[in-house]
Amino acid sequence: MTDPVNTVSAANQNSGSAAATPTWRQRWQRVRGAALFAAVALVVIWAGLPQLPAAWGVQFGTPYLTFFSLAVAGAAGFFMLLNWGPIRPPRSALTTFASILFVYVATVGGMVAFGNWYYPQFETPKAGASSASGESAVEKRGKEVFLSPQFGCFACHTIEALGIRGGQRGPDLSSAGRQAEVRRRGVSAEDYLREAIVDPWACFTPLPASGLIECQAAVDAAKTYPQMMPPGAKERMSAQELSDLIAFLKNLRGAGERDAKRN
Amino acid sequence: MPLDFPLIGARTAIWLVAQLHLFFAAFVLGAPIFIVVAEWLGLRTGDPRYERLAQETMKVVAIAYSLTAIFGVLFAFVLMGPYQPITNYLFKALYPVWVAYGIFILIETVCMYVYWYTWAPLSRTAAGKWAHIGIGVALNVLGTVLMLLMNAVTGFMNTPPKGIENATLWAMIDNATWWPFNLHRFLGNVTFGGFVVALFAAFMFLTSRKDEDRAFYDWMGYIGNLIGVGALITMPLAGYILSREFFIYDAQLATFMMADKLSGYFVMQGLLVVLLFLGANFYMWLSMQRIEGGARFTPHMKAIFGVLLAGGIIWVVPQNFFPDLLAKAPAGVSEQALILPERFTFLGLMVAKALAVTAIIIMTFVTYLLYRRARATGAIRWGRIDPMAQYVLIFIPAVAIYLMGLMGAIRSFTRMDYHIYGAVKDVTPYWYTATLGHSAIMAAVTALLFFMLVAFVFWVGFVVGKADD
Amino acid sequence: MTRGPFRRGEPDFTRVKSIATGVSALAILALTLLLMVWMIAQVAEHPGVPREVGKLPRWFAGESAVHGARERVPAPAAAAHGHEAGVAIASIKPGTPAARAPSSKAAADDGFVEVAGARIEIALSEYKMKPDKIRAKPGAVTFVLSNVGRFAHDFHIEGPGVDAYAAKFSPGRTVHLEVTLQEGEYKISCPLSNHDQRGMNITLVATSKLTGK
Repeated sequence: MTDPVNTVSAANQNSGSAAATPTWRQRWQRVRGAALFAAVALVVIWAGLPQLPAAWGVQFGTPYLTFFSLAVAGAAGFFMLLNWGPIRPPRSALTTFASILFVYVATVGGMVAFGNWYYPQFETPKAGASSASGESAVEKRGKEVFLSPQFGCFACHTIEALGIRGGQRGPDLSSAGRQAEVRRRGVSAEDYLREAIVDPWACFTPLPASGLIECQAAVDAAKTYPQMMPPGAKERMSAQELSDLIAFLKNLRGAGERDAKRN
Repeated sequence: MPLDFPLIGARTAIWLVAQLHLFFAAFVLGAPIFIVVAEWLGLRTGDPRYERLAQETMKVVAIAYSLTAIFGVLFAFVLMGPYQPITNYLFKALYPVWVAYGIFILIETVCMYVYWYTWAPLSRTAAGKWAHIGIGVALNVLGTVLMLLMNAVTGFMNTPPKGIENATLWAMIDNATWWPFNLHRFLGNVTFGGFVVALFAAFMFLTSRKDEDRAFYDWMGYIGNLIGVGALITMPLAGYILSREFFIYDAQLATFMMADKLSGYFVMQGLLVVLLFLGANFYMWLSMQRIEGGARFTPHMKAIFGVLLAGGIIWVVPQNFFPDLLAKAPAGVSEQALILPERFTFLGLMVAKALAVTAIIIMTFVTYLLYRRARATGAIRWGRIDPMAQYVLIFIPAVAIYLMGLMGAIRSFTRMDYHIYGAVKDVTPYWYTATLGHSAIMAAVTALLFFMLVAFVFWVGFVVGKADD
Repeated sequence: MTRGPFRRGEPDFTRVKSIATGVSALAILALTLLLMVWMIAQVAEHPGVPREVGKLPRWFAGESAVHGARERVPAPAAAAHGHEAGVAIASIKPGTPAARAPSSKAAADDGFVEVAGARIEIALSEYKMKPDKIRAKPGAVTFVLSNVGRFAHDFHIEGPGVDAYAAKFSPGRTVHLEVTLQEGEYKISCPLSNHDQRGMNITLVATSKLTGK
């Protein structure tokens, strides 16, 4: 009762074995050895290795034990495949396409799993200042305003403390909140920030090298940044967006130190 | 205000179109080499299978060619939006290269049409056949020139000449990694072409109804795989040459690639290459079964597999599980748990890795020697192979394509936060090095998209095309 | 009455099989599409916000039994600078006895760690040495150096009457170095590459007058 499609391609695959595709029981007989090896090896890895005396120098951490388990399972699986025996070819074009797609998806899916869940990921370097968990909703919105391509703040400013690396035309805003408190005597941080955004020509930011803290009445090439902050933010930003942005900036109190840079 | 690509972001957009462009380009550059060689072998041996192989593959190449061009144009469009400054810079600095590129694309297209449409007429006479092969060789030369031109741009972005302001055009073209890229990509194209042909053959085998068709496609898959693995064997060496040039150019890159953020990528690369070699050898195992009396080599093959697996495991063992230099062990886990114990530290070093990969390559070579031995003493029954072999021929290109996507990501990230390393900084919000997980997903997405498109190409070429028969 | 190759009464599986095939094919297609959509959603990037993954696999937190047992040993109370478990980890090394005579250390107010005994323990990591300021008594001392970092490190001590190196030792190893200190100030560093520049150095002052606690 063999399917005519099957007979030709499944015939005489292995010397001495049945002409038709093996039954499940036959397959099990063939792969038994490899499966047994895998089981024993796993027991040795997880129960045996950690018990060995420290002096032998085979103390592997859990990530390595997992690695060896995967390696053993893979090797055993490979040997099982070697002995699996002939498989039935797909019957229709649709099944063919689906089975090919399945191989593809399983392969890339396996790789995605390896890359995402096996090997650890790193965190983007951050230092000191506000982390996402400490952010309020307002600050989060403010961050989005900062990062919105519509206003393009990041096109000229960076916030190294948060790992936001924008352009370098304007100063780093990692400590914007702290600096805003002292930039203009008698003016609160919030008011100063508002002024700096909507009316940047009112007061000029001193250069770090100048040693000055307060913003200056006139631009001076030696002492202040040239004024490149574009005015007109008020027209483009809504009042809500502006106050969210200010709340976000006010909260930036970066320590100033970053984790060791790679460059 | 800098533009950004809607929904997915500029970097993701570039990644998708650039990678797909590279996949198709690799195919339309690598497969013609294979096709012309097959045509020549057909003429020399008189075996009609070579001619059929050449024609069927060329049909697929011709359809894929337009997809290559389309993705190239999309690549240019995405560049022109969010990446205007760097695009301007590249065009200004290397303008003659781009002009030459345009001209050669035009010539190559003409050559390809001539090659395709004069196939039947010229094949009627022996002299005509030689002329046709000549046209094919010209097609390949043009394709190689195109690759050389684009590799100059790639190399320029990765390893520009030091003192870039005063660099001459030739110094910019002939940069530190130009020839390593040329070598690595040429060999990669041949590998890729071979594997995609095998993929195609596997698909056709599985959907064939007639014995003769199955016999032919089985043979075609074997040849494709043979070419693919033959070129694959040389790839690790080409890769080492490329890395070495990076390290010589800037020692910081060595740390970045091997110990810092790209270290995990190389662990994954090790795994993928091991899978490739295992797949290739597994296919040979199954191929051995279709030779009469081939089964007597089973014990030898099993020994070879043992060595392959051992070598593979050694090759993939990570030196430590820290994804970059700044990572700290998580709470409750000691740093020592994440590093190889002192006695096994050598497993994480280059010596062990190089030995392992050499062993793997030699074992693969031995497998082919065994196959030749079996073939010398028994007849091959083409078509009478376990259908599993066809799925292996599908698995291998899947891994190869994925590997290509991942390697491309590594090469891009080697620029760190620059567009042109050391010269033009990336000031878009996407300057940072993506995590391994992110890149793994991107490679998967591009691989699946490529597969969908290739399936469409196959379908158009062979299912729709055959409706008239 | 028979139908085709099947005996009378046996159900006809052909139709069921073809439906099952169609369904599984559709399932695979659907799975692929879902996977693609999920993956694209994962990688869709928003401007300026670097992907922070930082999620470690759950099994990472587990440890092998031996490590687990030894990990619980708290760091010697006097190692004021060691807020990493650097000094505690040193005890895990093979061959090191589990119970060690704690060397008397005290943290003085000016940041110097004072060592009264002849045994000075230093933990090397990337890129610092702990403790990084030591006050010790002159005479014969043994440096117990443990590499708790990820890369091999060196050890060099230079000062009055002493110019000694320890051979490069890999992560996890502990080496001993015996020197005789005279009164004065010593500079200790890791001479490899730019480790010293990045902070792997110690100022060691040998004086018979320890403030002591």
